[in-house]
Amino acid sequence: MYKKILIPIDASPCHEKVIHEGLELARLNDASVTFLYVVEDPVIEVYGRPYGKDLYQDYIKAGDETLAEALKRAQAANVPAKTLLVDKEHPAEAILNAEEDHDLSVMGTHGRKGFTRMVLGSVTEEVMRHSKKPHLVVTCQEGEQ
Amino acid sequence: MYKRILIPTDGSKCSELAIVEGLNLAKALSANVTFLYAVEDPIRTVYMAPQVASYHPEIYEAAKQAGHESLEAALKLATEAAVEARTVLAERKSPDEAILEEEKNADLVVIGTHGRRGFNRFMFGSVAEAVIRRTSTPCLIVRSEKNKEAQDNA
Repeated sequence: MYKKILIPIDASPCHEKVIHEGLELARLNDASVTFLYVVEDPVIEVYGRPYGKDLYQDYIKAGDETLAEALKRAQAANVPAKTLLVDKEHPAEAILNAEEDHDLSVMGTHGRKGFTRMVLGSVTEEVMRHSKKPHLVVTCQEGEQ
Repeated sequence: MYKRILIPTDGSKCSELAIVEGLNLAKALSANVTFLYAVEDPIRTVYMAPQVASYHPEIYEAAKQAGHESLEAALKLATEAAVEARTVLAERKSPDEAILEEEKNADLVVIGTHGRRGFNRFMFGSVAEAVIRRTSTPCLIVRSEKNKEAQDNA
């Protein structure tokens, strides 16, 4: 039923579970996946500093590596996959834009016990507020990888 | 992956969309589904003045009846989709309580939300939000069509 699945990833501990869940769903639906990595805005603010450009390039590099890792896992699971690195864009906006071409997104939340108000990741929460597409929300308990 | 899908319903259009989405997914994954309807005690949801207390059993029975009808309707959709289904009517529980209890027997919960515009803080249905905050089971959140149209027309 879902043919094009979007899996936004970052370096949070939750993304392992998100990738796993997304690939599994894709495999069983004969769907393809897109891994999206967003290099966040605040990074740009250090631009202009002597090290700004290097730092920014290293952030891009971190994104490339995270995406390459995810791609490897998709290949191992026999799921057609592509990657998308978006920079200089707000994460939630970048995800919402990418969702236009997909029919489901898989996103993680940090289910921190006690902190019920903070339970949704802020990006996940913002995306879900504005999106019309279905979302598979995967909860990662604190400490869980 | 998902073999037991929990689909809470409250009989609304919005939850009907979640039912359809959940059944499609169940079919694709050869999973079975459980439809859940929570009948809340009216004492917790409406003000029962002493003067109207005698209506209480009758109101509760009516709420239960509505629950049975919603579950029947859901079951019919499952039969049409050739998906194995069972129903649970949870008595005297709030929807989020009932879902959090029943999801222990499920590996995915499919919940509809109305996604009201403008009210950012109440964007999710309060039930969907309460569940996501406390659950450890993956949740498929489905936005209601009605809202889609509202947004498209806006």
